[in-house]
Amino acid sequence: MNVLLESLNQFLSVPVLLGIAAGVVVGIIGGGMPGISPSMCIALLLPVSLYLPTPVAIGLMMGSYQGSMFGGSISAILINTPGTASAAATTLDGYQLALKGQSGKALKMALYASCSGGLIGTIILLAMAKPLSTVALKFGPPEYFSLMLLSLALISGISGKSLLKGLISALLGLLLATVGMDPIMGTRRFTFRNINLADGLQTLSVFIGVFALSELLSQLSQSRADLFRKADPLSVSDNELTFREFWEQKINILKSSIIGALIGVLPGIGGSTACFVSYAEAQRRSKHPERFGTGILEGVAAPEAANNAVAGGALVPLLTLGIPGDVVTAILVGALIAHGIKPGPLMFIEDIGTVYTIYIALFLAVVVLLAVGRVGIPVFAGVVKLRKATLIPMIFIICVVGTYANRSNIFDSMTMIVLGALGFILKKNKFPIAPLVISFVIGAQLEMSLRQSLILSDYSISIFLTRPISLVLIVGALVFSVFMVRRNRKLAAQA
Amino acid sequence: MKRRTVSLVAAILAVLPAALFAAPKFPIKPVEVVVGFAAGGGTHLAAELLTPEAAKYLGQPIQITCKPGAGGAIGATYVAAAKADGYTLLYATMSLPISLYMDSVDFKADDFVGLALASDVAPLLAVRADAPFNNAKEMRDWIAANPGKFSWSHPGVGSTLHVLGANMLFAMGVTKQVKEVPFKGTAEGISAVLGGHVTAVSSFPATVLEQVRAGKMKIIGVSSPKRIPELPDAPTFIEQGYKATLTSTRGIFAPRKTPKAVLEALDKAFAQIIQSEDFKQRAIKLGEPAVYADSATFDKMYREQLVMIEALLKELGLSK
Amino acid sequence: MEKKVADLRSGLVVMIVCALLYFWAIPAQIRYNGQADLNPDFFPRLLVICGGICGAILALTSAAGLKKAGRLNVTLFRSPEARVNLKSYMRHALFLASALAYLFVVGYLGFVLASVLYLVFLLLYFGHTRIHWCLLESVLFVAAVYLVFSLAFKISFPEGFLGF
Repeated sequence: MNVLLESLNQFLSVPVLLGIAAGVVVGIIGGGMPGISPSMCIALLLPVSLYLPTPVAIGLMMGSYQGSMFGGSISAILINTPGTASAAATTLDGYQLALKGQSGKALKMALYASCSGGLIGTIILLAMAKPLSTVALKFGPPEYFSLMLLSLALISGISGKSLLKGLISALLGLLLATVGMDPIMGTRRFTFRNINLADGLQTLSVFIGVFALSELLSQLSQSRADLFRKADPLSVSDNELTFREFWEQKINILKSSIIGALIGVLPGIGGSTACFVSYAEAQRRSKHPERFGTGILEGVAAPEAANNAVAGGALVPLLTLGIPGDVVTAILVGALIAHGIKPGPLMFIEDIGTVYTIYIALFLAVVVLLAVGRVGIPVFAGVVKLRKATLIPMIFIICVVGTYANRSNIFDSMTMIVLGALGFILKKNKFPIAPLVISFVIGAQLEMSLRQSLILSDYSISIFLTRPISLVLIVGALVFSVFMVRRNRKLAAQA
Repeated sequence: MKRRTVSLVAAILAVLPAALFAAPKFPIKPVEVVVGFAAGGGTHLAAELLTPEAAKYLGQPIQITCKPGAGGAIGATYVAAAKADGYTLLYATMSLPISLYMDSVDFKADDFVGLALASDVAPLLAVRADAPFNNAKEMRDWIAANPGKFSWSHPGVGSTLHVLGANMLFAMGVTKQVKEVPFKGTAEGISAVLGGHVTAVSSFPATVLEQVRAGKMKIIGVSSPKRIPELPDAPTFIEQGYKATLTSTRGIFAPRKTPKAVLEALDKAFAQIIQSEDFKQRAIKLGEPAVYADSATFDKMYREQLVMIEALLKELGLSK
Repeated sequence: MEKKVADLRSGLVVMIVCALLYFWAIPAQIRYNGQADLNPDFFPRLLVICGGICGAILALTSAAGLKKAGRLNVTLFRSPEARVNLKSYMRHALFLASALAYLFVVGYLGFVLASVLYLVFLLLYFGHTRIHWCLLESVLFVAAVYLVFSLAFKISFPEGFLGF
């Protein structure tokens, strides 16, 4: 208790709060810029942080971690371009809300959901770090595979009216994920002798191409006069988020945060998977699943709560085992080491002060995020007032810069354009594109853990059924698939 | 911002006459050092160590650009194709020679000249603390007694740790009896070892140091000519009688066609930067050893590595 | 009915693409030495087979629907619903082609110059008429993007002959 108070005391100083605030601001801006990932934000702050006292440095990093997780939603909602990979699910409903003139409402929902998610994630980290890390270690390749299978089954629910077309779209996503090096043998696949494809299609090129560029192309079908028309002035009353609207989402946010934190605990599974899974789960539990994707608040709250909760989850293996849960925490390891802190299994015993420092920094980052976000939202929301003839060209430049910045590679912008054309063709033929993107995200891990498991089991599939966790997950996947097919039938019959 | 503009203008004014009238001077603009790995990763952070003192010794800042992909080969391709004027350099790991022999790439070994050695790390083989063997010999006997039970992980085909790990197992003569399970990164591999899903992991010391200290993992052997300071109790392979001494070097390369005068200027600057006290301190903080070798020595090292790795990959059955 | 025709077309296209992938792209693009229990082309082939089956089901069900309506005959292929009006997609094609051209030129002109020129072109293409205004807008926007990404986030953009 004394240590906790001591750590808390450290934090109630101006420099530390300023550090957190600076981190949050950099995070929001970087997260909002497509192509600047949360890990790039932190990598950018790292050299600066080496010259700062440890609590300030930790505050700076935690601030930018939480800030960038929210920041990604800004461009996702306003211009349909996910600023970070974790914000891809937010575009599904967030952009539709913006089209309805409710961008302010959507952004506020995203902010409050992010803050709640960040808070719940931190509480989970605080309360259950030890037991969770024990469970995380039980996840070997077979469990990862079964978990990915379960996620796919859950997510197939987003496919919309035609299950068959959703399935084709999902298979296409999985196929796109096989481009690049074979995960086990290193063989190049579908690379057309181009070295830029050796690591496969970049996630951001797929996200921005299939979501943002295909949307720009759809808008091109309008007449020039329509494109040139000034955007309708927004009615202010419709653009506020009432407390009731927020409170209606409490169960959704709580559940999404728990999903986000739990997926975050598992090393190697990114935030975007967590967001899509919680989105799908929100849709599954919803009373009106058919309205998802048309611009409803549930669809913004779920992924945004999840991606901030991932932060808390990803810190679990870092603080308890010394194993980073994602790319951001991997960089954090470097930062902590440079400050003379050694993340590892002994941290709870030898250096509990630092552990508390990180907890408190996470809590305060959420508070600061709330404040900074409140001030910033009206500024961001102004973007949609531009006429489309101005907005589309500018968004396109942002798309190019975003896909370039990720690897400083212009080739990734070119693939973005090709994928945009593909997304547009699919859309025109009424294929849902969300399943493609989601299965692309899951695909690489799915194949890798399948083949890792089979190597370990000498090519016997019994490995998935003889291990209890894996078995439970696979049964879950089957139950959900049956459920999805039946509900889809019912919906089809109604229509 | 304003100050920056002023200093920029001043810099241009200062440089212009020199550029126009004096003999061509190097450098007159920031030098770009390309890293073939993702921003925030170990290689990027190691390269960032170079930047703070660059302006002092080089006269111009160093800008680090990350062009990740294909195990560093995308960055190397970019530098090989860039103008050989000394303004585009490569910060590469041992994956540079590896990719030449394991992969089809668009650059040649002769496209690069070594400028400075900046880091040298010994890889090791680590297992869970409760593994039924404690050293290389016991491990070998256990593998022979339990065929098909031993598995090891590395962070991807063609990575430095893959080749060095394969080399360690090859030196022990067990390559044929073990299962190889690649993971996305060393962190995933370590957690698979801790969870008991995989037996061993090929890793660098920094990533397993805390696990060993906490008694969760133990080290079978270090691939290095002598014991390493971070883990003085961990035996090397060579002292256990197995011939695995390869370490992983990192350093700065320039396109080979770069003018002599420019290479000399760079060589001098990097010698000062890497041997400065500040650099050493930052490097140690980050868990990097503070080593240095000048252009002539490092280029010779690179040449030797090429020969050695070509032969090694052939022996391991990994060459293309 | 129009949807059925479109679905029939989609189903057929999916089948053709899967066949192409299976018999041409996979053998040509996935080359490996030796033999393992699971080869690198196992997973892609599995996906392509599943895709082909899905495409076939899609085509067959929509064909069945068309047959019920008595539309499944040769005239279907000449009916207006079956035709893709390529002309209406000229704008999209031009936009995509110009975008690729822009990305190609970026390496030579540098990011700033190429982007300003391309943005002016796009603005004019989308219906703006005042060229001075477009130029001003482009310069300001590209400058803002360039400064934010390169100064704040340290991204280095392709340099042209002008050095920026």
